[in-house]
Amino acid sequence: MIFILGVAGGVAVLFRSNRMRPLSPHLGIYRIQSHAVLSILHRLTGLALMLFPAAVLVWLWALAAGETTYRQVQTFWVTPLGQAGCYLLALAAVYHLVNGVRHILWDVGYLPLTRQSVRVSGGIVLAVTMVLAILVLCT
Amino acid sequence: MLPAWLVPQGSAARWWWQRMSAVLLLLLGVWWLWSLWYLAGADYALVRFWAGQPVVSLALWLMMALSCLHAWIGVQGVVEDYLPDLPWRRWLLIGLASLAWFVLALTTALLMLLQRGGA
Repeated sequence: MIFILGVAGGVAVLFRSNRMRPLSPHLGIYRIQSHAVLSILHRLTGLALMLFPAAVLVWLWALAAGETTYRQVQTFWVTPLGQAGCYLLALAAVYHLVNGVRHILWDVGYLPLTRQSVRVSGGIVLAVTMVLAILVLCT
Repeated sequence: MLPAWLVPQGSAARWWWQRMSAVLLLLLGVWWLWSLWYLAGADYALVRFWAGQPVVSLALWLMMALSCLHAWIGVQGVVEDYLPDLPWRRWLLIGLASLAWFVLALTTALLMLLQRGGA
């Protein structure tokens, strides 16, 4: 058995194939848990929030360009597309912010990094995000 | 290794600045939300006057600068984690860092223009 594996490994190395190398951590059969989802959401919302400085820049430019340009840009935010974009950006900001506070609390050592604690604080983050999202929607 | 004149160097410094900018952006974000609420429905002249105040101008600049820094550190981490270490990745990072500097330069110019009441 070891001999066969050795020969196969040698052939794999010869053909520069990675197939014989150990697979880890079996992402295909790994049950995704809440911490992984919340972690990737933090990164995705962070990427989406790159639109924030872009939006502020457009606003500053319109403000400097004069009243007519400013009014034209302002009318965009009233359209359904502008409203939806605004709301989605706000939602991303709220989640990134609340989860960011959790990260800071981990960094200063206030929150223990146990499975139970991570699960509970993740639930709190989601709950607070939903409450704030509904608040934003209402205003 | 990206050029030292283009991006902040050192993992510990980046880690620290990511956290510092996060805390400051939390405060500036609250201020920004409050300002949006305060300026809702205001006419052009009032918004223009508001943005021309030195303290507001400084806060806006700080918010944009810290946003660029925070976004850069985050994006660098994401790109280096998920994209293969090939020559084009380096150019992508250089492009993104240059974009951040460009946004900051444009912000500075526009805020100075608003200070003078120009255009």
